[in-house]
Amino acid sequence: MKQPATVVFLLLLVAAWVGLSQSTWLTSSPDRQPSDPTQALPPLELLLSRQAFLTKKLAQLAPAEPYIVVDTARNLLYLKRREKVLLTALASTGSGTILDKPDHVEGQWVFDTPRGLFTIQSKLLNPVWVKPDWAFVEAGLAVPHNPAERLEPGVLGEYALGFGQGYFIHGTLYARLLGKNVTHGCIRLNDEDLRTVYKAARIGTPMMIF
Amino acid sequence: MLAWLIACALGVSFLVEPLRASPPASPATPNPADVAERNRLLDQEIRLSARPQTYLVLDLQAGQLLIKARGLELHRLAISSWASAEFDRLVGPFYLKTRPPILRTKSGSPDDPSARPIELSDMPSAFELPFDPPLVISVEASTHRSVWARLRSHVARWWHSLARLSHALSDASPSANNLRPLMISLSLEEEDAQSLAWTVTDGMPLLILRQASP
Repeated sequence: MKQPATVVFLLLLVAAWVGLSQSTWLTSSPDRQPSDPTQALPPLELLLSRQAFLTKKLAQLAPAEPYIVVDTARNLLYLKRREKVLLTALASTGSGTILDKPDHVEGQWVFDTPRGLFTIQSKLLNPVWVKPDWAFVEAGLAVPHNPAERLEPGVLGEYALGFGQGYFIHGTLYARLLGKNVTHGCIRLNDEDLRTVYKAARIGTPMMIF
Repeated sequence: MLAWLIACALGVSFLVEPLRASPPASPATPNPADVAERNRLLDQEIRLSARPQTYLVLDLQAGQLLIKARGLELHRLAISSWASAEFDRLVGPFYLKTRPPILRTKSGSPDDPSARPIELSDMPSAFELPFDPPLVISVEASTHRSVWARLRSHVARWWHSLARLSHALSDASPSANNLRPLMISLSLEEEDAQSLAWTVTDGMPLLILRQASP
């Protein structure tokens, strides 16, 4: 009985020795260098020169004009130019809830604000909301056949900026809900912040959502 | 006796870990290996930034995880401590297979209490992120890191070492070695861990800046 236990213990010791002595597990204080970048390294001056070149090249990929950043976790919208923050605005973004599609249609609507890289594709003055199917289904109403029945003016504020797939930055009647995840994927702002963003943005302004 | 020895080994390991977790001081003169490693990352980042996407940069030199797009830093998460294996293979880029599962509620009228929106606090603070090529990042909250969680982490390391030895004895071919998933353990503040779970999307690229110099 004692012998198998000793064997197991020895195996554990050997495994730990193999693992740790060869630094297979490294922490924030490693004791070994990665092999590939250290093999036959060029002189430090050359490496630093290349680093400066690459850093400059990467910086050139950043937008030169103002761009929009949206933090959906904290419901904040930033208008920035390079590293400078021009505006920090409290926003409302997607609720993350789901809604079953009506009879005969498989799947669900997921009310997330999409994440990733987008561009402003449209700028609308006094926009009218064209209610999508989910707005009727969620309210327990039949989806109308007449497109005119989908129009609802006055709920999106003075301006709307489309960033694709039916998603907009727009105003809200529910300013008390700013800072919360309550929307169906659009980004809501108060009137003043919306005006600032509308004036600063143009078609093609980059928008980064995370 | 055996149990006592194992307990001692784990105990010493527990005591040593916090000392190893603090980030090293940056040297006055840059280390060529560090610079080469950063150049490798910059090369990869330039390629990724040319595409319309957000991506993650796990900076093990500075102990931080960055959410970036077009070379711009969008958000920064501080890493309390990390551990990894087989640095040589951590070259990436890696692509997230699936984000952590989210418990979503049904949308309904505002009066319906069950139709509660998802908030950051609803996100998990302990989860795994599987990437392709095979890499698993195990995330846990440092603030709620119990003795049990630390014990589990240590046992996982020992187990990995044992598995590695077993692989080395049974199959020494490099192809088999490359198929095994790499592992990184990250410990973050609870809100940062939840923020990471919130932010990641399926297919999101990950770059890793390895620690090159001691």
